[in-house]
Amino acid sequence: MRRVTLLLIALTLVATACTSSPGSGDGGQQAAPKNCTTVDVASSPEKVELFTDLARRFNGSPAAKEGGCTFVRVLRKSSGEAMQLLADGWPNEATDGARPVIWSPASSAWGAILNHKLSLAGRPAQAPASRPFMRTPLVIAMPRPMAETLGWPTTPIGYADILKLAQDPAGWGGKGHPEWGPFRLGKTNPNFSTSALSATIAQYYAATNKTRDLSAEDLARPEVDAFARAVEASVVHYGDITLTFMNNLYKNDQRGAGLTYASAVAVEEKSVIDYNTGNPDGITDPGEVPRKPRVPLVAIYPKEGTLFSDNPIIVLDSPWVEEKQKESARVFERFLQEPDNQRRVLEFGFRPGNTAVAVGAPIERANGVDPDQPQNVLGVPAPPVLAKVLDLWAEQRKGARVMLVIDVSGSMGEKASDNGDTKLDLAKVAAVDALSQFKADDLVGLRIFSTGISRTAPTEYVDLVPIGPISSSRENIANRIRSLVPTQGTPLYTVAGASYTNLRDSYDDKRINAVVLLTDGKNEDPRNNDLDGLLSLLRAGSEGQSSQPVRIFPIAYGKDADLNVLRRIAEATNAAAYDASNPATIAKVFTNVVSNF
Amino acid sequence: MLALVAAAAMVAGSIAIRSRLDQEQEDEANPVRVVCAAELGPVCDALRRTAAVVTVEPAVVTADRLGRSTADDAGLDGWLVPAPWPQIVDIRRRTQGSLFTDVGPPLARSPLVLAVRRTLVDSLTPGCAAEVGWKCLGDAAAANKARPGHVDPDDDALGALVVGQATAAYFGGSVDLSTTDLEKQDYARWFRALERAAPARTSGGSPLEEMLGTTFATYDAVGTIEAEAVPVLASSAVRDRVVLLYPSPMATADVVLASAGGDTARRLRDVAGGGDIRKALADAGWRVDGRPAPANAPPLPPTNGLPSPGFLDALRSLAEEVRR
Repeated sequence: MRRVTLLLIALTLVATACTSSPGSGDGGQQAAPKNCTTVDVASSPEKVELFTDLARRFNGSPAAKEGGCTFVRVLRKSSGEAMQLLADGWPNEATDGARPVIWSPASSAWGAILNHKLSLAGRPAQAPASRPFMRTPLVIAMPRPMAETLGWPTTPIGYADILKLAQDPAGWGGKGHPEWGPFRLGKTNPNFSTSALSATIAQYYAATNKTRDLSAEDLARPEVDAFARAVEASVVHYGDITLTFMNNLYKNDQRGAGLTYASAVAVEEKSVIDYNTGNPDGITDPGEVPRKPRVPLVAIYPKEGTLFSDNPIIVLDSPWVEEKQKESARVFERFLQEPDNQRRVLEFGFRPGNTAVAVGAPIERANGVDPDQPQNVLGVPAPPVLAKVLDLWAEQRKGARVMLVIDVSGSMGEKASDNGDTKLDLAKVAAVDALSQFKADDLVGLRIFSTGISRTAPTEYVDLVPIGPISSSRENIANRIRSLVPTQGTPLYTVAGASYTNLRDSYDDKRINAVVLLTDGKNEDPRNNDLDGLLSLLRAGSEGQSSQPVRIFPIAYGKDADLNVLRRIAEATNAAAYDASNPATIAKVFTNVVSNF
Repeated sequence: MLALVAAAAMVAGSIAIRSRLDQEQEDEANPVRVVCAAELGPVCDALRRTAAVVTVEPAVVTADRLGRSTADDAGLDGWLVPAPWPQIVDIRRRTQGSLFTDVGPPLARSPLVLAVRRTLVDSLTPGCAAEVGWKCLGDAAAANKARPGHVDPDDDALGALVVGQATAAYFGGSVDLSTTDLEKQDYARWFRALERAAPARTSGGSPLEEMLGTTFATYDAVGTIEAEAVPVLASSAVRDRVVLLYPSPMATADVVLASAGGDTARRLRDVAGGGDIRKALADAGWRVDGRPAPANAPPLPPTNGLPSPGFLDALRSLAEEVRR
């Protein structure tokens, strides 16, 4: 009897071990239960909540015990970032998360790009052709009144129509709505984001009047180059993920200013559903109560065709993936294809990959989307052409005019790593590295701030390098950054307001005008403690059809940074704040920040 | 007398048992090496559970490697693959010598089919002289009225079979087709339209799954094998919007176990041609002797109904050129 009891206890412990919750998608690295094979999944951000949910279900299901014990952990990684990490051999698990066994980018195009890059380096492919887990088409999300002005829903609208409007100097005035200002296109950075990659491909197809077989020769044609540059000129700003746009659009909508933030955003269909149901980033935070927007979005399925994000489950052929892990990964993949789990996929607004599950609610017209669309698709270009698209975009994207503002307060001298590096040391390396991501004709300047840093007014900040072409100042900025030393306190509000005002006063409407504000502390300036005044100043210049938007992208650096305040500063300028509370992540965060330009 | 007979029988029996044991020891010491065409999916998993050493790879990859190989040992004893790929390899190896002198009878067969969007069938039927088949679909594709698709002959063994059937349909049959027919201008135009009507692949799934998963945004007709189409359509949420056709001339994909013959062929048949593999094929939707055909499906033709292996290989090259 005692043996039976012990056996039951042991079985219970094993079962409990195998039903622990999965990683939360934030890179949670909890250990797998003993005797379980760990399958780490790198998931693109828009489905990380779904994946985390399905992993939790799997870990608690009999399927997880098939052939032993499998434990799935989910890590959030943008598709482009994961592709680059895999191409680089996923060098640093401490900062980048566990090396994945399964990679699920938003589109299999990323797998093709990875294999192409590896092939160029003389290395074997790591991303075998894989079945879609679910699908979602790329759409042009547009506030309903704007779409109706273009003839929606009766008149088919194409990329060419929208991109033509984006290039029209009269903007919405040419369509009888001058109050909406210029046409503003929301688009992310195609090096990170699948919707941006798909939108950029679609843009080239529109420029060439083709629907398949886009070639490198097509991309090199002068009229195609001119078309692409004109479209990019209408972009509000870029960014690593579309969810930033959706959040900002939603916040503007709640203030009644949604129509002047962005006229159209290239996103996946699922994002339109999330937005219209009051969950713009698709992630339900604890206690969050969804509230529908005042002005809903509608999904425009371009008449020329569009691309599907097919969300493949790629069981990697990477050197660190063991055969046992591959077997376990396939068990999880089969679980994902089960109809019950595919119905969960549908609940999250994606189209099921298993054709046994019909497309239905919430993919319905009431949510701004159409289950009978799209009618046409565009061909995914060959991998070398995809790589060329990314290379060209780096040249054709809208230019940037950016002030790098770096906190050199005393706290930046605190030790931040085991080898004695200070926070400032790490930030300096990251900032210098990030300079390489600017294109030659971007304008970049360098400002540092700390209380009493200058004997003459303004005493809170000093411009080390005035804003100018980075082609001629890159080395000067790098040297200046390398020589920075920590000094006094943190006059955060003063420098934020002054930097914003400086850029607005010299606004360049052909460029993305922005401030990158790195700080590790709270405002420590007793002479200026007026956060509300600062936010009013920022908002006043950022709203309305004639606004001259200057975006502030703060980086909350170290555990003492005031992320909450920095988020409010970012939101007041329709930008985004970045969290680098772990100083070891600063290089990655800097890269993400610069992806906005 | 009886004792003598019994003694002789015991001796014969012991020799047979000894021989069998020796054979088993030999088989264990030198297991047969089988390459399984990845296109056969779960059948390869079943093969892995046998005593064979199994390599799974796409048939076109195996064919390209074997077609070029000049090594004495080609690295395999047998190939489980849809015919006529072993014959295609041997045609490519004219100078190096044949590898597959023993291509056994089909272990399983599956007719080539067309899964067509019902609205397309309805719209094409009045204009199609005999049936909605490949000839009619190619004509419709040339007029931008249809987007037929199939697996790429460049990376899937079944692709060559499907374009072979389509081409046979264009010429009115598979008999007497010659590679010079591929140069005829009318045909070249028709084939180009057929191959370029649909967008290039948009995901890693099969064209049929893609057609259904994108609710016909990619393709509105897909050529595949019955083994895939019947179960996929049976479970599909949009099955009522699809018609399954067995186009003329009827053709089949036949799974064979090819080897260089001799004792290896015997050992291969024991290991890879047994009941477990046939069951796996049947479970995967292939028609196997003794198992019923799907409801309302036509009987199998006596031969595979396809053009010659050399013609199919030439057609595969043409398809690659046209699709590029």
